[in-house]
Amino acid sequence: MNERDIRTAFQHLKEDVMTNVQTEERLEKATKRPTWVRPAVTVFAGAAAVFIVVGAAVLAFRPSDPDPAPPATTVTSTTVTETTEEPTIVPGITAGTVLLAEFGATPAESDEVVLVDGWTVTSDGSGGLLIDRSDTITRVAADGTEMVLLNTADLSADDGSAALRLEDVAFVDGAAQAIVVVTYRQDTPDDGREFPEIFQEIWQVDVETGATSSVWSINAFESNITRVSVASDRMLVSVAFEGGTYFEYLDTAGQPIDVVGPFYDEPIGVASVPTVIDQGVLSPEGSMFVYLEIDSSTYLEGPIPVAIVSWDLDAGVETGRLELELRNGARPGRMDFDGSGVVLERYLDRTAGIEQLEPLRIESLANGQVTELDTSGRPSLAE
Amino acid sequence: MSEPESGARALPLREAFPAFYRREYPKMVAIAAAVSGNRSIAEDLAQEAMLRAHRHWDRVSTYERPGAWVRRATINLSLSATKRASAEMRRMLRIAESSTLPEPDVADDRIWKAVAKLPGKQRAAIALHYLEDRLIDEIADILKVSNATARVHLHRGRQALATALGSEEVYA
Repeated sequence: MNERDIRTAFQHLKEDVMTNVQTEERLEKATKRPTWVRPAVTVFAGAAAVFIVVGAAVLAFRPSDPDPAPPATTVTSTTVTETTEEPTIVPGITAGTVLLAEFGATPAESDEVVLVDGWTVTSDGSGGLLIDRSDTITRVAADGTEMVLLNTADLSADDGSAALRLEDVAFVDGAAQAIVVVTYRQDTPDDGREFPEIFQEIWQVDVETGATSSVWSINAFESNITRVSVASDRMLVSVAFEGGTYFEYLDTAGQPIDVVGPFYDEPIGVASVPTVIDQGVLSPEGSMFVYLEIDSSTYLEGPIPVAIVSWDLDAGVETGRLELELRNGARPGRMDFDGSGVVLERYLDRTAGIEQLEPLRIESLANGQVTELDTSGRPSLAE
Repeated sequence: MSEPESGARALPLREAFPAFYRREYPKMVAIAAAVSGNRSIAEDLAQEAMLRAHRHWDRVSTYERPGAWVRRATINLSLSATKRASAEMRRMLRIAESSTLPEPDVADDRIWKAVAKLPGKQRAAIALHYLEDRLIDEIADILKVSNATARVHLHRGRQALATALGSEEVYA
């Protein structure tokens, strides 16, 4: 075998393609379908059977609640009122609303805070909600109808399992897309390797049709996607790996883009105890983003110095830095950014028994005034 | 070089998607077959890359080299296809259309098996080099790596092929 044989093999491949591929037929199929709809056939067909009224539907998500219809609880600022009326779960979400997933709570609402019992809850971009229970992602539209967008039962294979994590909702080419991290784990490696095979993929899921597309993937045994933020034509992926953290700057199709921004973390002090950069979140128009810079050297002892750093992606420069100190064992979690202010989750990791704390709200990074929300939970800021 | 869109010049006007598709789709099938090592899914991988180009055509068509974009998408999809755990790929394979591409003949099979054992980026560099006669800077542009990195991928890939195939020929 020599160079000529290799070239001949590739030439044969080209000839096979030119002789056999049916370009016109495929082109017709491609242009008949303006968006990626092939997987949606499966998802939507499954989802059609689960359209039900929202009041009872959201209660059905509660994994530990044996009573399908407990009395609703209404929270108005600091006052809690019991009511026997059906809860209104989708009260009309507007920009600036903070959605909170309160673990184990009764669905409720207030003027400023919507509480829904689920793992993560996010605005669907048109007045409704998306709820993530790890194994399903469900849309509850503003009119109360419900649709299961993704179910791990459709993804799992015989030798592995899949988990879902809802990151955000963003408009891509005019359509609202749920941004979902799909983690696939092969539980029993069959080739003698010591460690299981784990991959993570970033999916965009059309919240109206359930159409999906996988736009980026990573070998998750070595790395872990910690946050995905999509705005305008940009997608910012925060990745943690054994040696630190980094950001990936991509377009909404998962292709790298040429912008200037922070990449790897910059070690401070001891190199083996680096600063962690994490939770990169784009502004709604995608021109800037904020991220957390966490001094992990005091992670186990607290307090933890955390800086919320603002970065102008178009200019490629840092534009601001708000320094906080998380006390009493609090750790930073999910952060959301509306282009002006942020909401930051805080939690206690008491050796696996995670306890949610009241999120921090900073209305404007420019003035830096920090307040605590009244209620604990995992926040998501509707844009 | 046979790619009119792949040179340094910019397209004077936005190209219509059907013309782009007719020119690029067969080439994407060949790249997908070489990089994924699986002819039975090459047409679906190429189709998905073209669908993504179609979906983003308003933007992709304004790029100086939309062909580089769709090649990158094809290569990324093909590399994902080699990861048997890809959940999206599993779904795709369950509903894949029947392939029209024949399996390679016996004489070529040994070469394709050697190509399939190369690391992903080396496979991609090898495919672009042998299928399309791409130069180093073009491979670097498509793979979004530096020229030096592209050169290393191609050199190591060719060396590994020479070793695997028992060639005494020394590759540059």
